[in-house]
Amino acid sequence: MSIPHASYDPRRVFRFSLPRFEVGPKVRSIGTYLSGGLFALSYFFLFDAATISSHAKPPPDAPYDVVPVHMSFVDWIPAICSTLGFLITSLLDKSHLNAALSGDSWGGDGPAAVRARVVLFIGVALMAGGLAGSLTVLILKYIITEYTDYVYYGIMNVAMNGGIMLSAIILWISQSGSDEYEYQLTV
Amino acid sequence: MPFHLFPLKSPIPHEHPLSHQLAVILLSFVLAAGFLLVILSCALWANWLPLLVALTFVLAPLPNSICARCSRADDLSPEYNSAYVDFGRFLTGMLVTTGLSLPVLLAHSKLIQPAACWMSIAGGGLVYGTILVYSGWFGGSSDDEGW
Repeated sequence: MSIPHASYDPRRVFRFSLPRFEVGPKVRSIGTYLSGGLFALSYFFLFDAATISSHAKPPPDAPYDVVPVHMSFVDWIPAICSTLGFLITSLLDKSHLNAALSGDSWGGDGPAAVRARVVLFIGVALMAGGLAGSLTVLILKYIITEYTDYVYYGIMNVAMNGGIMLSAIILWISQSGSDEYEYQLTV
Repeated sequence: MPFHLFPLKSPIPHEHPLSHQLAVILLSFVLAAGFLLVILSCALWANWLPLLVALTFVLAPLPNSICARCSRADDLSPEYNSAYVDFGRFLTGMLVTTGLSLPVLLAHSKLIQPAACWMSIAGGGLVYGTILVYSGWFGGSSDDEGW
């Protein structure tokens, strides 16, 4: 019989605890810049596909043909879902959530924690729905049709939604450190 | 890129105002070269879309300065909110990436020539770098955020 570790919490449910990201202020700022850049870059993937689609010309051997496949509003619905999910997830105040997830005895199941968990669920579900929707558009509109020359639009759509999800992850990790450091600077 | 991550020591000793003026003249030449590249990339092909790049890079340092002011407005209040600073950094990252990827987008969809794309990227980078170096050397030496 040995004395349990000091970090052991008897109210724990899982055998492994989630890794805690302790990031310093430098990593925090770099991660925030990186996340913003990735957000804009993923939007530019979609804008690239949309610009190419709107300036697409018929092939030179048949100059009076109509370009069969264009990007339409359907291609933008996953992007709208992902962006909403990104906004919801990033605007959430992490302090409620940390109290809820770390199993603090006080503030563990308060109404704020419950609401924060529900809002987080909705945000992540919107982002995952955006990614799944972009895959759906890629498969249904660009792969299993007779015109397969326009797969680029669908791939860019998937890249855009994946990029927004990655950007949200980076932002989450870089914001998960406490901002005590800057607090001490100001006082 | 964030300037204050690489705390650049001003190479200019403070007791020489002449080297200050030299640095200012040098920076202004670099700035003029950047604008020259951007305007040339527009005017050579008579297609003024790459001018958006210069606009983006000129706007890029703004969010950090505005948001630093916002979060510092209530210095004495105990509720320091770092959300403004983080939002400013996010916007800066967005603007810089926009300035870098907009010409690539325009060149990819054949709206501008590839040479115009590279020229406008180089010019915009020179303009942004000039603004960063200038604010790092001369402005805001007292606070850590600089701009």
